[in-house]
Amino acid sequence: MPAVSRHALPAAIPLGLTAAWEVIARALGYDSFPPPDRVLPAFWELLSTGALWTNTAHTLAIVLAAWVVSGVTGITVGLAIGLVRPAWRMSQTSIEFLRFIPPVALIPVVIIIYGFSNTTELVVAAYAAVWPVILNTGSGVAQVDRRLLEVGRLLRLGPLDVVRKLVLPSALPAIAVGLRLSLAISLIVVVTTEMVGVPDGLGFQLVSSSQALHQDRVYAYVVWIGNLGLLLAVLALWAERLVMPWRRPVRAEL
Amino acid sequence: MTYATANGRREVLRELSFEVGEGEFVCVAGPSGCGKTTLLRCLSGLLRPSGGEVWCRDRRVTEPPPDMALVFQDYSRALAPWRTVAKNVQLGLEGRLRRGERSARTERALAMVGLTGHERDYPSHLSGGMQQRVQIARAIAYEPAVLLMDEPFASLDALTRFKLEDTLLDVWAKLRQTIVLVTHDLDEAIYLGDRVIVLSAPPTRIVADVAIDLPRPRDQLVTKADPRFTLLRQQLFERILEVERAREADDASG
Amino acid sequence: MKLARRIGVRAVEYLAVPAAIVTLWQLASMAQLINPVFFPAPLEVWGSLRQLAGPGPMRDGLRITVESMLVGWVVAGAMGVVAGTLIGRSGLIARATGPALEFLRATPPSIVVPVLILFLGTGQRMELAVIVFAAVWPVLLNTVHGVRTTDSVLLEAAASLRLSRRAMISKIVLPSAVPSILVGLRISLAISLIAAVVAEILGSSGGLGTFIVFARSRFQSPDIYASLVVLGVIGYLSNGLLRLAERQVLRRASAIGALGAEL
Repeated sequence: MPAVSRHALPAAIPLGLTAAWEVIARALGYDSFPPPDRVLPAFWELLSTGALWTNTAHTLAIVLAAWVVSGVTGITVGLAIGLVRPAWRMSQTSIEFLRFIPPVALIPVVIIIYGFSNTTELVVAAYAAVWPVILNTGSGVAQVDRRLLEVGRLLRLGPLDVVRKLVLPSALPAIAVGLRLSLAISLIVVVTTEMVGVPDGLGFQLVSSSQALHQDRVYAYVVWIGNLGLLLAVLALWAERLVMPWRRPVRAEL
Repeated sequence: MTYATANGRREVLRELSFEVGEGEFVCVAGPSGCGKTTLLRCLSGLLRPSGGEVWCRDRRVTEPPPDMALVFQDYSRALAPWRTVAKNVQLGLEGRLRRGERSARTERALAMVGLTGHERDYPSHLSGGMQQRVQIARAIAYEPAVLLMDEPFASLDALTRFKLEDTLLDVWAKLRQTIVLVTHDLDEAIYLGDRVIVLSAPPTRIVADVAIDLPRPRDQLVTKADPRFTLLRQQLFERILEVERAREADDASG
Repeated sequence: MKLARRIGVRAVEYLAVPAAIVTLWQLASMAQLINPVFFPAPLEVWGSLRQLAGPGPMRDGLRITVESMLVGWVVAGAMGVVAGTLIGRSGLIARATGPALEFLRATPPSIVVPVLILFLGTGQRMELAVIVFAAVWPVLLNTVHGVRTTDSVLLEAAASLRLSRRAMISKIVLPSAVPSILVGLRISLAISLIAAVVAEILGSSGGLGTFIVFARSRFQSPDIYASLVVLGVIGYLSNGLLRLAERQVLRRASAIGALGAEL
């Protein structure tokens, strides 16, 4: 298929939808449904006044911090329960219960404890993002090929070497999946926290624009945040490919 | 080395006792399910026999000893896919030898199996035969006194098998370790070994323990055309059939 | 006898940690070592949970949340399976919709709430819309995967029997995609619960989310924690039930791998 039409097809739907948006919005004339030609200037305004950058920086900084915290914690816990069978059993009940508590429901509690601060955002997001890391690391570690472990015994590798040289690299693909999921979850939860309570960052701007009836800004923010999510997902996949040159990354799934 | 065992609830090996001299190349042949792999695992220290003992060089074997190496049949599972060929070969040497010595041994081992030039490749890029050579190289680099091999060529096609059999003979000619090789292929056993031990179907016992007086160096065409080869094969088959018939008679008379 | 002892040990292992935590927490509360507003004592949380026994805002909230979660889940499931089958079967549709779907999928569901509020208000309709938007993805992706990985030999055999397209899909493709779809549905249910609570907290559709917000404004920590417990239990039970159903179905179907990453 020639290059032009290969790219034309995927581009067709977004372009078509945008065109349809323009037409329908103009026709309906609702305030709550501004056409793209009103959203674009609003977007530009946010960009040039720097409002977009400072808020994005704030949100992203917390997303990354939460991701790192949940990553380190998750991998450590996952390693522990993956390697030690009784630890797995003992942690099952707690994990299966705690991971289903919707993080957004925790926001009020955390606000009571830490107030309307960055810490609240970090805590809630890290809490939400840690579960996929724990679960994927745990299962990745527990499912290391027995044959490889036997090789380790035959070569008389010490326990630390076994973990470092055999278990962790073997579990790396699973850990990577967990980390990718946790990044996505961090973004979602940080933004949600900013919408629900903590007055800072992209989520807050979104809600304020909505309350101030600046619909064009609302749409601008929605598109912007959506693209941010996409960007992070793509970066994560790319990083995964970089870290594991010997295989292709597991296709993204939830 | 003296070895005698009887295995517990599922009685796999009933009564086995034999000795292997230093530098000897012994092949153990038998039908599927006769416990050849179990035997090897007991010899290597991976498995503790429920009765009987394994001795290597005047020391009792209860867990993998430092002077033994085992080559598995499923080479793809026994190699670390994230390590290059060279790093795989070095696995047993890290932390024990300095870098210079490690590289030297790796080079030598790879040269002996004919894989010079593939140091930087990943196992997944290599053919089955080449992967098995990497495993053998890893065992060689470890410089064990005893090399155990569990049906190492069973997962390969005939031509590759012949090539690797000869490679193994070359290696042994140079290094003269003690080798115990398990195979289901009687021809292979006769071709390779100084001595062939044939096992019965379970409950397993030694059916024959025959010295192979074919001249060395062996050659795929010459040796197999030698009338003594055919004679040996015939003798062993007859012995096996004898035992089978005796057992059937036993079973019938209850 | 040995079996009974083993079961006993297992039971202890599974319950030890939660029991220990709750006990320590209760003791710490009674010794006044922790702030009761931050961390109310388990017994007080229990007292708050007993509200569920009779009519009241908590029970109403529970009903609304569970209702929305289930309805949204079913709708998202149906949409996901249909769309997933279309996309899985047609390379053309897959390529055309690819980027658009990637974008929508990566969009945090919570940010569409302000937009949805504009159209649907803050009530249960908005909540359902949020749930469907969030919960359709796992089903969609898993359906696509399940459909795509239908054994090609099986497909050829069916083609040689000249099955109609509809029969092909209903008798070959979908059944072989079932394990994958089930995993997607299970994950989707968990997401439905989360989305429901998000919508309730951001809007005012009733439900446990709204109840939590209300409790916070009055600093009623036991109520908040009780709601969290209820939510956790709902999630735990629904996930467990679906996993059981999955295992039952899988026992009869052949072991075609479903996307296995754990959420």
